[in-house]
Amino acid sequence: MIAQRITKRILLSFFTLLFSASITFFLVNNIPGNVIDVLAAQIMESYGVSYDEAKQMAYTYYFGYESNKSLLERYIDYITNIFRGNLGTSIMYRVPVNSIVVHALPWTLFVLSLSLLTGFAIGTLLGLLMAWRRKTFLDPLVTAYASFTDATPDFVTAMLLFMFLAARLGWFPLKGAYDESLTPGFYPAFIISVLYHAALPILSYVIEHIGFWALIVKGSAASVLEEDFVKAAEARGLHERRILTAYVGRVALIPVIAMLAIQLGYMLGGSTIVETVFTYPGIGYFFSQASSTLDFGLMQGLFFIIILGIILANLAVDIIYPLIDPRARRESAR
Amino acid sequence: MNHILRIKNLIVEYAVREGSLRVVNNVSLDVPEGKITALVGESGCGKSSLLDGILRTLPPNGYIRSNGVWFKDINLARLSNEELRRIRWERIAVVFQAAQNSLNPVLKIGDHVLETYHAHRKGESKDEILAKARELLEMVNLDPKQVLNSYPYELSGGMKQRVIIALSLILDPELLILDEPTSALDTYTQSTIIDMLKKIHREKGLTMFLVTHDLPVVAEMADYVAVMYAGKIMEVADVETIFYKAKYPYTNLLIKAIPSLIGDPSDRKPIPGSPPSLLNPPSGCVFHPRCPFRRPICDKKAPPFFHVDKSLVACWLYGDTK
Amino acid sequence: MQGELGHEGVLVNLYYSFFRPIIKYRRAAIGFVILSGFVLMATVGPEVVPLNLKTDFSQRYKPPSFQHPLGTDYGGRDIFQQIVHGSRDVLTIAALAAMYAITIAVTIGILSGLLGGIVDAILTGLTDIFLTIPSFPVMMAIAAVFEVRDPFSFAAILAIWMWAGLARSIRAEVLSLKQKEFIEAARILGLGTSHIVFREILPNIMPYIVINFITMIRSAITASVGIMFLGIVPFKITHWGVMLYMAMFQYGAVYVPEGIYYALAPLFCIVLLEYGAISLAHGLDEIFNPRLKTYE
Repeated sequence: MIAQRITKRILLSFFTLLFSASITFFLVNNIPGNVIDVLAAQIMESYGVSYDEAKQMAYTYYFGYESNKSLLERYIDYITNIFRGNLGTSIMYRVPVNSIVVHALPWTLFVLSLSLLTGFAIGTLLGLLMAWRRKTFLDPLVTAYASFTDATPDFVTAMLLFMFLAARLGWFPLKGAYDESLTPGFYPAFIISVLYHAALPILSYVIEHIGFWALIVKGSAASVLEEDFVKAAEARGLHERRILTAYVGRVALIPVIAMLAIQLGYMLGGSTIVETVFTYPGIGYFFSQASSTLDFGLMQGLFFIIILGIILANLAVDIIYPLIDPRARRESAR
Repeated sequence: MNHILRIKNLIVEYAVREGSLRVVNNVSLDVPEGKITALVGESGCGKSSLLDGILRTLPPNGYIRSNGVWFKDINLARLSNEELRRIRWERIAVVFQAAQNSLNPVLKIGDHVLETYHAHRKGESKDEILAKARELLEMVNLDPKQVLNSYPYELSGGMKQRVIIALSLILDPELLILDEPTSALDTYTQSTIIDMLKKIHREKGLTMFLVTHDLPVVAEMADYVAVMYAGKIMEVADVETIFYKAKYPYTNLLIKAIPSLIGDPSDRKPIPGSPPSLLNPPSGCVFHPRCPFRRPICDKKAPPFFHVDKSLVACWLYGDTK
Repeated sequence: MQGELGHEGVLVNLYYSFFRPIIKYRRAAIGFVILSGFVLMATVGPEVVPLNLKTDFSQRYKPPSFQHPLGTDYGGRDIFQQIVHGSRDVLTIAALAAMYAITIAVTIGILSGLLGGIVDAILTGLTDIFLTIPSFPVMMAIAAVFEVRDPFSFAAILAIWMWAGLARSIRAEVLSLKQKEFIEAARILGLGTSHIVFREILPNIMPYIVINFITMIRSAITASVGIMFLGIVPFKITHWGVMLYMAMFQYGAVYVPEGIYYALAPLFCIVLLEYGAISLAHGLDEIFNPRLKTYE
């Protein structure tokens, strides 16, 4: 049943969130001294307080619990804080993590959704064409391209693009999400500036993912093409275009749609690299900044947001799935 | 007699790793108009590929050659893809084997009706088309209201088979080709489908070309029978002749192999030996390795067709062996 | 799956089951040659090629020459030497991570599939959670927090986030093997669980494990170099990831035309190495699971 599946998914999501939060808690608490010491030292430096005060602050301010409480109490405090949406405070930027999220998340969502859609659309088209028109130059070409990009990690693509198109040729900006001299707003110059700054990050993802989608869709479409109902549709004299869209395309894309969420997960992970290379102020950029400066509050908060994003994407796919595949509604109909 | 379909020297081959597989070997066959003609043979003898050769519905590794496949005065072999597309279903409807899988799993039955109609004709409203579909669905004993709104997975195998048959009539084709219309169904459903097809034939005078390995179905429905073996047509005759006075040894063996409902089941005699490999067919008459009446010439030269009584038969038993 | 092997000795077995198919299949052969090259570089290379890390700014960013086959870096040091010496760490970390991950995956997959019931439910749930959590950020975070400096713990951190997919497939494989007659027969014969696991199940999933070992090496390279590229694990300066970090974020080699060799050399090696691993894995997959290709 759909309801059952979604319940299961929500349950899994909840446990995943809990598990992730627990990892963070474990990291912070079970490395005796280490994390808190580092934090305390940072606080001492930034606020000019004594070590003991700094340590106390480290606990209360950044993790939301008192140091004299028991481990279990601390754990519960910590978890409830997170589930209440209080993600802690960044030590480096000296602001609540929530406010960083508010500023960074839109950029990441903007770049990722545009990249995902572009890559998916181009890849799907190529994949369908490859399956439909066998024995053209397209298949070996795309296959070779895909195995090349498959062997090329995110950082290679991003670094090459940055090095040649931004640093050397100067065709694209070196950093940022928009031209700092412009005031943000909905007017053409600003929108163009935003697209211009997002171009290389988007290109990095798209280059990486076209081949992946093309091969997946080709495989799926090739197996659909062997189905009896495609042959039957030809026998019914349907137009080639109709068969390619309503038959091969639609049926072949159903299993592929489920992969969108998985792919978004990979991209969120990859955003740490891509956004850092292009100094693009999204979630990934701040996460890698936080990791390299050991800004625990920020790290933990952003990590939570990344996982939340993936969980929501999975949930969305689960809800959309029965809408595109009537067979998935089967059990609920009986 | 008028022939609605005349196949001349049709050859169908598949390119496989081991080489070229000739599944239909130089077949010529005429299908009389207004009658039911059956093509029988064991599975794997090339029956279904013969159908694929008619409307060019082969998989990508299949190749067709012929001296013409004439539908009335149109040579189907010479048509462009678009011209052929217009003839498919509009004038010749082919219901393939495993019709249960012939429906798009993500489209409702009503959508199948509409898309099929719109691929060929314009002008009629959705209601008019669906009204006609309702009539046809009723004719095959289905509840139109329920079926039109259903997805394929919501119907049983027998229901889907009947849906396809109803759908095959939506454009009033001149020739209906059915490949194993009763396979993979239980016996009760089989007999209702046969009755239904007979009724359709009676009421509409529709020419049918039936491909099957199921001889009781042939006995019940067909007017004429063509017997196929290892890619070749071996005997063609009216149904009485085939069942009572068949000339070709294989035909007789095939009929003896039917499990009879009336007679003693031990009378049933399976044909000794197994069908030959199509990659490496026997020389001369393809049946000679299994033939009880083999003569010296049989493995040397393929027999031509001889007219014997009411049969047309390719067998050296009836030729002058000089 | 391959047929029963004779007992002519390990080398002969190895020839028939491993080398001969590789020679027969071009793709696997290409991958094998590439990987062997890198393994040779990592094992023998550092013994043969000297490493001189003394900075000499007069030799800064020199193009390739006889003396410096790949040119020099921002400090005038030989890039080729760094690549050769770095390959050992890159491969060690990747191979260790893959080994750890395989061990976890096999253990959890077999336990889950074989025991069933509540154990299976818990392990499956755990696997699902590990599959949902994005591995790269969490690897990054843990590596940063623990301030890892040695290959063993770094590999362990990677492995914790790499096993889940394989464990799930192994569980499915075990479940389907459980239905097979030979396992049933072994059980009726009272051969015991260890016999079933080590004699019946493991040999059957072995090809699968081999292929996954190679793909995991490849993922571990992507992950480990990626983390170092971000400057989170300051490993030896010769590690390719650290070289890239220096080129990209520290010394600006990417901004100057002369710096191109310093940035491209590790990039090229990583792509080639990963290409080799992918080719070998795909090639082995073709050998172990031949699919009937009707449309060729």
